[in-house]
Amino acid sequence: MHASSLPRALLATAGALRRQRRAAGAAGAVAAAVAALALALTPATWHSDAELLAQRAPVMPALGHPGRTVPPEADAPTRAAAEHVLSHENLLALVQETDLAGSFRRSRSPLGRLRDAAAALLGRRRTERDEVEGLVYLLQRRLYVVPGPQTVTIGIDWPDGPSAHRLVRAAQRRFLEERRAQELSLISDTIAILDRRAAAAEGETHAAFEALRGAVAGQGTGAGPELPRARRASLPRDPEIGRLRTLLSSRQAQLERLEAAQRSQLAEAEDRLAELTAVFSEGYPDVQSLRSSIASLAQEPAAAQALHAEIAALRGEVARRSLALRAARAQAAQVAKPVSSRTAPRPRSPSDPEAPAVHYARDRLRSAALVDATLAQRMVDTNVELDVASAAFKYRYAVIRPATLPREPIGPTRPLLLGAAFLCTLAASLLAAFAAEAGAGAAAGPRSNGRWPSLRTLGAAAVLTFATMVILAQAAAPLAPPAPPRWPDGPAWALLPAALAGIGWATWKLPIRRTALPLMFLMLALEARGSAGGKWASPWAPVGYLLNSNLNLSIPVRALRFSGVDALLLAMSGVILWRLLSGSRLDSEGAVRTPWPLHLAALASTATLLLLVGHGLARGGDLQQTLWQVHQLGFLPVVFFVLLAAIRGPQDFPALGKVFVIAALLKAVLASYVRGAVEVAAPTTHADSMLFVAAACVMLALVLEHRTPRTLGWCLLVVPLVAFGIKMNNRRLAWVELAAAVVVMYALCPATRLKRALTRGALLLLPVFALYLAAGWNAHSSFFGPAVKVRTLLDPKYDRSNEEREVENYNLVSNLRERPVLGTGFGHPYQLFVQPDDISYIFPQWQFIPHNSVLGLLAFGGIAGFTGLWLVLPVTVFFAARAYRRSRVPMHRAAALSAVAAVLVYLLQCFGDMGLVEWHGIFLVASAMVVAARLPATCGAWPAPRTSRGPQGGAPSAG
Amino acid sequence: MGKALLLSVIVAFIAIPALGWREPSPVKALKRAVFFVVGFVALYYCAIRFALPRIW
Repeated sequence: MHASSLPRALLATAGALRRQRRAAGAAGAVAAAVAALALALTPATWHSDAELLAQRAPVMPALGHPGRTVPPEADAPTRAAAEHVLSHENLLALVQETDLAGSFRRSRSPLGRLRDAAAALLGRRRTERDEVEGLVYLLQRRLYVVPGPQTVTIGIDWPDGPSAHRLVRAAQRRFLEERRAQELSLISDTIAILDRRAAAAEGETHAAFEALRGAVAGQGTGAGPELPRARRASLPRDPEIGRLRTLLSSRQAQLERLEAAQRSQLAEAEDRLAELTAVFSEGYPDVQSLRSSIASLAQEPAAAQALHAEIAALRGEVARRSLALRAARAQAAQVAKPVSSRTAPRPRSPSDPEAPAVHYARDRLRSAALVDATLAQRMVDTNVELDVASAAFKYRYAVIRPATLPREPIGPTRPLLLGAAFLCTLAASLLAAFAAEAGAGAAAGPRSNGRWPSLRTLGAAAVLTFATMVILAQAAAPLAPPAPPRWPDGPAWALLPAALAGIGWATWKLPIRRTALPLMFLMLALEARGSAGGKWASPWAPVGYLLNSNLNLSIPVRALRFSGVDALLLAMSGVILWRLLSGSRLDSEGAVRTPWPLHLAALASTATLLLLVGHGLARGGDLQQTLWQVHQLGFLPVVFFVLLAAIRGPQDFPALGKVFVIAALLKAVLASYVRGAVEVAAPTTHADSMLFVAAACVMLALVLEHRTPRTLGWCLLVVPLVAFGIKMNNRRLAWVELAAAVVVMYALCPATRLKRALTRGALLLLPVFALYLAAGWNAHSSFFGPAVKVRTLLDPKYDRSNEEREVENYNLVSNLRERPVLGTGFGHPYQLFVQPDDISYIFPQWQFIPHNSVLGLLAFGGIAGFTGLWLVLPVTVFFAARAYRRSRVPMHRAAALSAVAAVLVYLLQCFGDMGLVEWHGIFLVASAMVVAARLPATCGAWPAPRTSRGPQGGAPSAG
Repeated sequence: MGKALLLSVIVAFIAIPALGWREPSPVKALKRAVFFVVGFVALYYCAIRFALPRIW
């Protein structure tokens, strides 16, 4: 836009508002009402959190057991706090404990109810299980745990305040209970193990004593051991200890149950109190009654006190009896010492205590008694440990900031929303005024250059903007997680025959542009399998799957080993050929002649592809892998042929550009929504980077070459939305592509005074940028975010992914060095000279489809194959650049500029991440080829501007 | 350095044909473009063959 046109446009705007007061007022009133409704319906977000002090308490255990040494790092009370709180099992228990499903249904916002109703209409009614799983999923995203060195903070952002409070309290209580159970059950289990071992040791001691007695008894009259008669009867035993231990365990279990019930009652009462105090004052009878209940619940009940006393008495009794028993056994073992040590020596006999059998039995008894005594001591120590751990728990974990019932929501921010509503109202008034002016033809005001936007365009813009706002608002605060991807149910398949008949009829009867461009739009706009990491699918995903994936994955017929787009493209090619042969002018009417070198390059590409496939198969290549490698690339000439028939000349360029722009807008909105709704790093596929950048380039080229209020308005609407889509899709390669495309378009632009000034400025700023890059190379602050982004792209050692790419590049280059002329041919994996990580478990074709398609093509095709396959790209750029220089029509120049940018975007995608096997790239390059084919003849860039006079117009022809 | 060299093929594919062919004869211009592109790919191979393993 010229500088002088801006004030004139502002004046015209004011004039339009004055002249069209009624329309502007009505539209403003409607917009204000809609904004008020949106304000009322927008779901609120409530926040609640609590903080726990979780510290080491080494004093009590040290005092309780002075001999024990525990390394400090073994005692980490905040360890794995987040993992426990956010575990699926714990979240499920939270949902059930707090009756979250019920309260969620009751507090659901009107917008959320509307969405549920829409989902039910689409056949996605949610079962109770779906609902619970959905809430668990939502909790995973909304509940957070921040473990510090000595604190654990648990918080949540939830659409309902009381539920947020209850959830945090319950999560905190469950965390404490889990820690208590974990710490005490460790010791209790140890006691149980020691108990079993002690029983076994007791049996062994008894058996050893009996064996010794037998051995001694066998020696005859004079050799009886000098044991008191009573002690000789058997080893001392105390059956009472076993009974007491059983009783002790039972009482401990009773106490645990009692305490858990008490804690639960206390928490519920505190929750209720918090809810009541948010509404009523302290004097309210229910509040007072609850306070007294809480005070009584906080005290230890009499039953628990009695149990504590009984448990302490039982433990004391068990310990006393164990020690007595141990002493008795030690005495018995002492008695079993060699007689020689206590009596006078006498002549050795076969049954002398020093005989080997008696000696062995005595040693056995001594060992068994020692083990028995040691275990008894450890039992006593461990019981002390249990008591100490139980007592120390309240010192280790303390609630330093309890969860409080939030008094007001933290979002949405009302002033911000009011501001947005005001802007919305203003925009609606302006749009209505413009529309009324355009509709009445009364735009008598100054029209600087170009027309006012048409009514249809403005209406579409308003609808799109509003729809985007609604969807983005939903994306910002999704109240229910999306249902998992699901195939259409029976009734939907009933539409298939009718749909096939409709498609067949349209392909046969209509001009090919009426079917090819919608097909291209669907391929660009619909999602393929694997979008959003498989966690989310749009309602129209099944159509995308039918087009993108083999049909037998959707339709249970094994023979359908091709995708919907394969079938449609081949069908369209057949129809085009039939029309050419039969002399039909349905597609060729008004078509512009095309330069033959482009057709030659396309044919050379096809021939080279066939040669490389044959070469690979002749060398023993795998046919199935070959098809994986060349499926999309092999269709490039077909797509070019179909689009060449669809795009007759520059008159069809706007339709082509709109396909990319509208598809990109849809994908941008989709990416934004999915990013908000699903926990996924990249909501759509990597190929969408090409779509976003291509759409942005179309708009930028249009503005560069044809600056009118209309193009400028569209550019200001489309480019930020697409840029937001790129940001949401989270693919750094897209930014590289966008930057490179902008630089190339800038370089191709005519040298004006402004361009020279900008270039000088950029050159002057280059050292500053270099300094910024150097300073931010290792920085972590957000100021240096772009520098870090650049580093992630350039530094091969930045992360594991970059290192793996380096290894892959090295291997591919080494493959090229091995076979420089024709490469390995398709159907062969590239050889590994340096062993990378094996990723076959997630991507079985990784050695057939490398990330770097440029080097992959060089490795598989060699220098000859690479040149033959891709010569079509520089030829496309040549014709587009030449047409750009020769043409004087702004729209044509914009199309040519976009075509050059499209080839660049495709090449960068190929270099960055498997662009060779993406349909988006094929449609993008084929579109660029068609623009480069149709433009030169109209501007003299190729021999002469001529239009076809016969049926050959759309066909390849000599230039 | 290695990455810059690898990326240069993309630059060549765009830059060589678009380098402002002011040649009035389009056929001559195209011949020149194709010659340069093919020549560049050959040079590129030479760079990879001889230089890249040293600078990798």
